[in-house]
Amino acid sequence: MDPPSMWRATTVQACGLWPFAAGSGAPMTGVPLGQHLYTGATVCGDPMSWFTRAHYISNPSMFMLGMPGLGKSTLVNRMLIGLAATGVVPLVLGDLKPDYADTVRALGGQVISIGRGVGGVNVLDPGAMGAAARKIGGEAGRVLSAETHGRVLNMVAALVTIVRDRAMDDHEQSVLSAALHHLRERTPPGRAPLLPDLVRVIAEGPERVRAVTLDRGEETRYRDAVDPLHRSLLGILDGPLGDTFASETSTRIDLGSPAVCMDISRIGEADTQLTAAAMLAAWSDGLGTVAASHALADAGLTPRRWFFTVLDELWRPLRAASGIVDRIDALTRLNRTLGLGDAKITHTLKDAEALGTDADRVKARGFVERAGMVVCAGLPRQEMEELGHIVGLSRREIELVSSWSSPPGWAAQGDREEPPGRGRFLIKVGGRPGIPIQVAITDTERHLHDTNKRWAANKPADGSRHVGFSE
Amino acid sequence: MSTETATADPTYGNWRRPRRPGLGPFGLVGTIGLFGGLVLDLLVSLISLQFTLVVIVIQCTFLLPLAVRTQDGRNVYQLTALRIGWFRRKAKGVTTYVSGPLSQRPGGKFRPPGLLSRVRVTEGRDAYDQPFGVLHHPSRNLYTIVLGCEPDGGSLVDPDQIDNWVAAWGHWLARLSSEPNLRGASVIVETAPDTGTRLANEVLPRIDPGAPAAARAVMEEVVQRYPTASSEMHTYLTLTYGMPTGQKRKSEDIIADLAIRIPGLLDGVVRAGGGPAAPLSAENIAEVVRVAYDPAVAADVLEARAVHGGTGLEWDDAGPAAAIEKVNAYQHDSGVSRTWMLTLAPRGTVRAQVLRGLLEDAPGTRRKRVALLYRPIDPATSARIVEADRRAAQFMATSRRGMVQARAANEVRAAEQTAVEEATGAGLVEFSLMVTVTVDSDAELEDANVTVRNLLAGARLLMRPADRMQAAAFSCTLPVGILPWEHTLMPRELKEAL
Repeated sequence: MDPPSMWRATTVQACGLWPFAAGSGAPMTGVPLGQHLYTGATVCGDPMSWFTRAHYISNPSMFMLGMPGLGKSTLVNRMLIGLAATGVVPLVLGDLKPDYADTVRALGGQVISIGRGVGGVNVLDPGAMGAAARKIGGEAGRVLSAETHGRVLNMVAALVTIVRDRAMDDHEQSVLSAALHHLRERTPPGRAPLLPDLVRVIAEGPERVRAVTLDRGEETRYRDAVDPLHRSLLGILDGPLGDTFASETSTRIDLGSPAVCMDISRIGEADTQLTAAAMLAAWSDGLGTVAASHALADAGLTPRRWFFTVLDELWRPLRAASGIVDRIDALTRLNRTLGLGDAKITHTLKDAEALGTDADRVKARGFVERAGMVVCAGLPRQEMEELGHIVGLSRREIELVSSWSSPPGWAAQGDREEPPGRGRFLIKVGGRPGIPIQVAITDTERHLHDTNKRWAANKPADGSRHVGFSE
Repeated sequence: MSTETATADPTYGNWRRPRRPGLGPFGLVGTIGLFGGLVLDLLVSLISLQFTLVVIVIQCTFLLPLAVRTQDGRNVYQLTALRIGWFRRKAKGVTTYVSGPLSQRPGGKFRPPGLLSRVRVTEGRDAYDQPFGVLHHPSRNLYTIVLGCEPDGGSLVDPDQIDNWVAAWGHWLARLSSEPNLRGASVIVETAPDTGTRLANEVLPRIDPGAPAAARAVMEEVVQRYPTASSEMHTYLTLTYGMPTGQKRKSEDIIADLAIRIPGLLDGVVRAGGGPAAPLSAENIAEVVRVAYDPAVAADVLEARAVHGGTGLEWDDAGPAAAIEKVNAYQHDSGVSRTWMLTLAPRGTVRAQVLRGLLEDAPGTRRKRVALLYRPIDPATSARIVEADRRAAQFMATSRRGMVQARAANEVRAAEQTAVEEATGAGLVEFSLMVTVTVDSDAELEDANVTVRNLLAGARLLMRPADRMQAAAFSCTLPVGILPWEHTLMPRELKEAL
């Protein structure tokens, strides 16, 4: 044959025709998310699969940042659906929008509404954990039951903290604990005690509760010790939290459900106390369910199930109550042992800066650091620079992502134009170059998930052109 | 030319066509012919003037075609030889290849055709106990190993990191010059539309039997729809080693020798931004070749790999069942391919990302392979070449005057730079580029033509279709270590002289 013409150069120059300029690697483990922006390769990934099967990340968590309206919850919904298909149970503990209720409903899961007049949570209900403890029995059951007690105690303490806007005293905690023990022994099995029952116990002052107050037989000393707590509990009953937390649980989390969503979207945004309380209650209940499921699996009574929690609009619960930061903080450190993957979603890193105390701010910043997988939708340049200090972004990555948060040209025509960053994400794992993806949603999902619903009213009747991406 | 190494975004260039010895376009043989002719003319003119004229006319008719050259330096004789070769092969009927049990070929196997027909494949184990395939080309006694890698690409990486990678790639190339007996290397980047098999095998078997119907529906929809928008990319590196003349060595020794080199080579590839790299087993090589000849089976190969852990395909069955070579296309099992060969390397200077567009997936093609071929030059020869080039440039610059001076000065500067780079440890390498595009039918070839032309414009390259040798050119872009300069009609040294 006639060979092609050869060119000669020193290796210092010939390497300029670099054959690795186009990437060929794209992760193929996990839920299919979309196409690589440059190579067009299908990209798959979710924190659970990358942790358990691919071993790309050391803890099953994801942190997502991005401006509103760029499709963050669409991507998370895809993960929920994909994981649900593999048998993982999505748990949305406190859906504020609601972005996930429709998905969970479509998956045949349980949607529990919390809000005034919509549904409540009985914070004294031992829930799935109590039921599991009874089912397991023996030593393991006793341990689980003790843990249930602690969980209920923490929950009531958290409510009191929210009402008072400061922490509870130590002796009040012990009073509360004794009262709860007494109440549990007094309540017939099969019925959960209610908050008014607790108030009644404290009003009555049985021996066991009196013992921890050091009343020495004097009624006045007992009253002095319990009155502030008594007052706070009455405050919960009659105050803004009353009808939501004092009644019977409207629905309990079903351990066998394929997905669970605690919908707290009916609570007004200004109603921070109720939001915080509802979030905490949802968390307490949800994590209790996870613990119960694992305890049952440990005992060999049910097959092992994994869970995936979603914390969307992270800034709201973070601001709502100090206690939530600690819970999430604990979750980010313990999720491996809890058998729980999680996705935390917020707008910008500044959300962490707006927290009340320095300690909370530091903790909230740690969420990004510890996340196994960081996903960015469009973000302003300055945000990206800051994020770059935490996760290590290259200048090109910063430029790419910041270009997604600006609008297309002003001259763009009509309703066809989408924001440039819609459905585009950059996935960062450790020091590897980021993977830019374009999420492509299916028709089924498009019908399922549309958070711009209220903007659709004036559009032409055929909603086909209407896009499914949304914040 | 990356003279300022401190700049943020270095550029590369200063590649030149190897200088032909001799006068102008004549080449060595032409020059000898020219001077010999002149002497002859003088001698003949002593006898008869008319006869001398006749001799001069005859000389001109023979020498003129040597002086007329195409852009990539081929003269009329070479072009004619190619055509004659083509007509001869066509007359003999070797442009059509039929294999398999029903063919007349012995063995009843689907052996790869043409340059690959005599290749034998064995397997060894490297230092990490991974199997690696060794292709033996008995005609030239060459041994080839194939490495596969998965680069991250430079799209989202900072320029200084890319600069490091590219520099490491330069080191890797420089290392090739000192690799004993290495005859050539190639990097082959193959792109193809996603068959969807990989996705289906990732998603579908994992769907829980008790999964919600909606989740199952969405996942099935995804598996069905995603591949139309997706593509896949594979990067292979081949290294072809020769045997020193007069040495007879057993193939086990050779394989053991190659096995020792693999870890170091892989390490260099990883450092050059190649991503995770591993040698290809004999089965993998056969699969790649099989899929190249019959793109329609790509999905089946992936399926078999995912479900059964491997295809069990052997080299002897990796070829096409039928292939027809045409003037400007090569038809094989389920595809039609056209191959282009490099004419001009990018003029001026380029940045390291210049090939990106060419390497990335080209919509509308069934498969596309870009092969970068490297022929390392050993350090001793490099030094000689560099010095010769420098002397020649100096001579040209000092012997002429006026307008030519600027260009000559440029030449001198380039030669000096090359000399400095060579002296500070860089190797000298000859490189070339070939592109093969496979489409489904003849009708789509024209579109592919346009696509390739656009891609080449983006990469600032000039290429020509490898007409009348499409079959051979096709096998050059396969990761099997065919080095085009080893398979010429005339030995390379003689050809250069022409």
